Amino acid sequence: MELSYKIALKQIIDLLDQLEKEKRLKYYLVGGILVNIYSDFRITRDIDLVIDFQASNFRIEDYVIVLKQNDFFPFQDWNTTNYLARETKIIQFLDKTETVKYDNHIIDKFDKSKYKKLGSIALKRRVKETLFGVECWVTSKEDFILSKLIYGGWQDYSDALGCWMRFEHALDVQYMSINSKELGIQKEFNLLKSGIDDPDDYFKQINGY
Amino acid sequence: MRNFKGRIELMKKTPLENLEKLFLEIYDYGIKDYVRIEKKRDPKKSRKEIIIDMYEFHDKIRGRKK
Repeated sequence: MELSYKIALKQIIDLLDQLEKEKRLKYYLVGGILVNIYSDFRITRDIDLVIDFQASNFRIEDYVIVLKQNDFFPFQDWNTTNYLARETKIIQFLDKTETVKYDNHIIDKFDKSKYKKLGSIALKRRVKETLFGVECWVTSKEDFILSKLIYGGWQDYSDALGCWMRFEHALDVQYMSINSKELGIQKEFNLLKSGIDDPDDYFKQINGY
Repeated sequence: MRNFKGRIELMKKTPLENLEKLFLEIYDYGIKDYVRIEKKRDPKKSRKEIIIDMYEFHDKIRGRKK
């Protein structure tokens, strides 16, 4: 058995834990990798992370050099990775088997879009979990739901609804309510709280079908 | 008809270890099968090109607002 996803997770977490210790570069995992612990079972192909460069003296260029030195692979080449990272605020690359894609979303405190705003809000509430036998920082359940409501695809709503139904009584609803207002997703959050229990119904109602 | 509520109840009772084992097996099988099928369709394509195209296609069909 190859277990390429598990190996890829360990490869990146080992590096990020080291960078956090030595360079104060903070990170947390987000997205589909968390559905087993937070929502409903499904397969995801990539590994999504959020990284905060602003609290560190480590630059994107330094990070890309370290990736190269640690046997990660670029999509095209590392110069293009660097250029695209500055343009899009996402660093994309592959693991050492060139199978698993990492999406490193860079926190930008000056970007006021709801997509970027949550990055620094959620950093303060990140939690330690063990995924596939690897201890790592992950986004909280509350911020997992908020991020899914922001992105707004069918799969995102389904993940958010699954997390809400699984952990409804353990969630900090007040925190979610305040931040849903701040992020402009109050309508989505109110529908989630309404007792709806099917992703298709949720999707239809939120899109007005 | 899908029973989402039932699925979530089942998730509450299923050990994480079982879910992760299933995930890893399906993941590896899925990737291998995808590469095999794409290689058959276009033998000139490298494994890396197939993988990158797969991720691009996946991002496209995700249907996110952004």
